[in-house]
Amino acid sequence: MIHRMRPSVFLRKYGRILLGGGVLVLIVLATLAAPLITPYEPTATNGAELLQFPSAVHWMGTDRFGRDVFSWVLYGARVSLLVGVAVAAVSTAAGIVLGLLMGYYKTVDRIVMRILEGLSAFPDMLLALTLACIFGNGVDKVILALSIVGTPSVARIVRSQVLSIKESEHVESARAMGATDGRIMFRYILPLCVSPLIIRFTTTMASAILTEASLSFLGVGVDPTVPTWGAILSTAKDFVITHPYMAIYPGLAIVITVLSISILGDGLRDLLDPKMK
Amino acid sequence: MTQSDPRVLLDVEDVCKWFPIKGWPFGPKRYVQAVNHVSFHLYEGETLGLVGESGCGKTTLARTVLRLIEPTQGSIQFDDVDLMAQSKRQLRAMRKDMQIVFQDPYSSLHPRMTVRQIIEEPMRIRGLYTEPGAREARVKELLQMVGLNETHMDRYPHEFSGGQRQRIVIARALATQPKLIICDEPVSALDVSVRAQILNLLQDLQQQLGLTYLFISHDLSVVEHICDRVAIMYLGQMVELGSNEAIFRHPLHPYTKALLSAAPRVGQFGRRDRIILEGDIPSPADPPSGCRFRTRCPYAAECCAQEPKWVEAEPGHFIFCHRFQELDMAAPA
Repeated sequence: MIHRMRPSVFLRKYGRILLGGGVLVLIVLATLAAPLITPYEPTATNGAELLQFPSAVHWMGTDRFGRDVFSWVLYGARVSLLVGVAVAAVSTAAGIVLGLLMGYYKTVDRIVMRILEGLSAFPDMLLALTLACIFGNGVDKVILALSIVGTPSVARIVRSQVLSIKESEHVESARAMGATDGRIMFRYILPLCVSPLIIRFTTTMASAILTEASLSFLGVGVDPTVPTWGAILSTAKDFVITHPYMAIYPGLAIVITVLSISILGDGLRDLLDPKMK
Repeated sequence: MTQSDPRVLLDVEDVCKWFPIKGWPFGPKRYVQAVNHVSFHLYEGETLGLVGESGCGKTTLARTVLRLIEPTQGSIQFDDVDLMAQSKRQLRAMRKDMQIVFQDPYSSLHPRMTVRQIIEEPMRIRGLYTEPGAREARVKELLQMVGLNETHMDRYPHEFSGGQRQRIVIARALATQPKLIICDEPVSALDVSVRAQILNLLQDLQQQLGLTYLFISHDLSVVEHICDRVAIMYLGQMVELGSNEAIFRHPLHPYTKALLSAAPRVGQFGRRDRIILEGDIPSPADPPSGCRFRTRCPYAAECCAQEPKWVEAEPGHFIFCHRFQELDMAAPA
C-alpha cells in the first residue's frame, strides 16, 4: 500500500532536503557541464575586453585581465565542491577513528583529547590560516589543512556517543561472546552513531567551502592561477566600488552553495531525529 | 543434585571487586567495596541462586566471575582452567563456554541487526559452523529450541515483545553450546505471565543440554522454584549458602531470616512473623567493621565487631555469622 501524505506534511518533512539537495545537484551539473555552457576558458585573458560590465556576451562581466567572470565562477565550483567533499570525508573518517578510540580506551582519551582541545582552542580560521601557511599552496594541502581543522569536532561527537553506547548491555553481551574490541567498535557502536555524523558531514562541508574561499582570497590557499571563488574575490577587491559585479557574482555563488548545503543538513537532521516524527 | 560426586565447573575463591572513588588528589584512596571476599563453587548441571537486595553486588559478582569486569583480587577456576591467568585472546576463546543473559531484553540486543544476524554473531565471532548453510540451520534449530520459529529470522528486535526478546537472547547465548550460563535477573523485566514461561524454558534447556546456571534474582519465589542451591548476599559479602531446602526451610543467618520473612507467600496470610530490619543498608564505600550486618541485626552482640568466619554449619550449608548456633537454639525457624 502506498502511504499517501498530505502535501503540507510532505513539504515539512522533505522540503528542505529537496530544496538544498536540488540546488546542490544543479551546481554540480553546471560545473561538470561548464565547457558546454560557456565558450570561454576561465583562465584565458583577453586584452581587448578588460573590466567589462555584465552583458549578453559576458554574463557576469570580465575582470582586469579580461577573464570571463561567469566561466571563472562555473569552473571555480569544481575546486570548492572538491574541497568541501574531500574535507568532510577526511575529517569524518579521521574523527570516527579517533572518536572510537577515545571513547573506548581511557588512556587514548586522556592523551588525544588534550591535543584536540588544544586544536579547538584556536579559532577555525586562524588555525586553517596557520596550517595553510605551513603546508603551502595547492588543493591537496588545503584539504589536509582544513581536515585537521574539521576533525576535532567530529571526534568529539563520536566520542560522546561511544561513551554512552559502550555501557549498554548489547555491547556487554558482545564482549561476553568474545568479540574483539575492533568488532565491538565498528559493528556494535559505530552503526548507532551515524545520524549525528551525517549532519556533521554537511556542516563540515559548508564551512570547508567558506574557509577555502577565505584562504584563496588571502592568497594562501589554492594556487592563484587555478580558478577558485576566493581567488576572483581577491582580484575583485580593488574594484569593489567601480565594478561591484566582480565581487557580487562569486560571492553569491558561495552564499548559494553554502546555504543549500546547510538547508540540506537541517532537513536531514530533522528527518533523522526520531523526536521530530 | 542426584549425582553422587558432582564435578566443580566454576570455583570462585576469595574474589573482591573494589571500585575506586574519586577523592582529593592526596587524600586516602577510597573504594566502593562492591564484592568483598566471596568464595563459592558451582557444580556441573546445577542451578545456584544468588539472592540479595539491589545494590548488594550480585551483578558485579556475576560480571567479575566472567572477567567482564576485572576482579581486584581472587582466583576463578572455570572448567579446571585458571581464568585469571588467561590472556585477553585466550579469554575470548573461552567465552564460548560461558554466556550471560542480562536483565533487560530491550537493551541487550543490537537494534540494527536482524534476529538471524544476532544469533549468528557468536558463531561468526568464534568461527563455528563454517560449512555453507550450517549457520542458518543452527539458527533455525536454536529458534525452535527457545520456542520461536524461522519466520522470525529476518525481523528486527523492536518487532518482538519482551518475552520473545528474552527468548532471542537465550538463543544467542546457546549458539556456541556453552557449559555455564549466568542469568542476571533474566525475568525481572518481564510480565508475570511471561515470567513462568521463560523460567520453564530455562529449566527445559538445562535438562536437554546439561547446562549449569548461576541464577541471579531478588525474587525469592523464583529462586525457590528454579534453584538447587541458594546463596544470600548482603553488602558485597556472601552471608549464607546452602541447598534450596536448607535456605528456605532452615535459614540460619539473621539476614536470611529477615529476607525470607519479607517474601509474600501463598496460604500463609498473616501467619508469618515479619522481621523488620532497622535503618538503611550502609554504604558499600564505608561498610561497618566486623560483621557488615551488625548495624541492622536484631541479635548483634559485642563479638560481632570482629569479622566472622565462613563456617560450614551443616554439610553443604555455609554461614557467615558469629552467633548462629545460639540464635538457632533460641529461635527455631
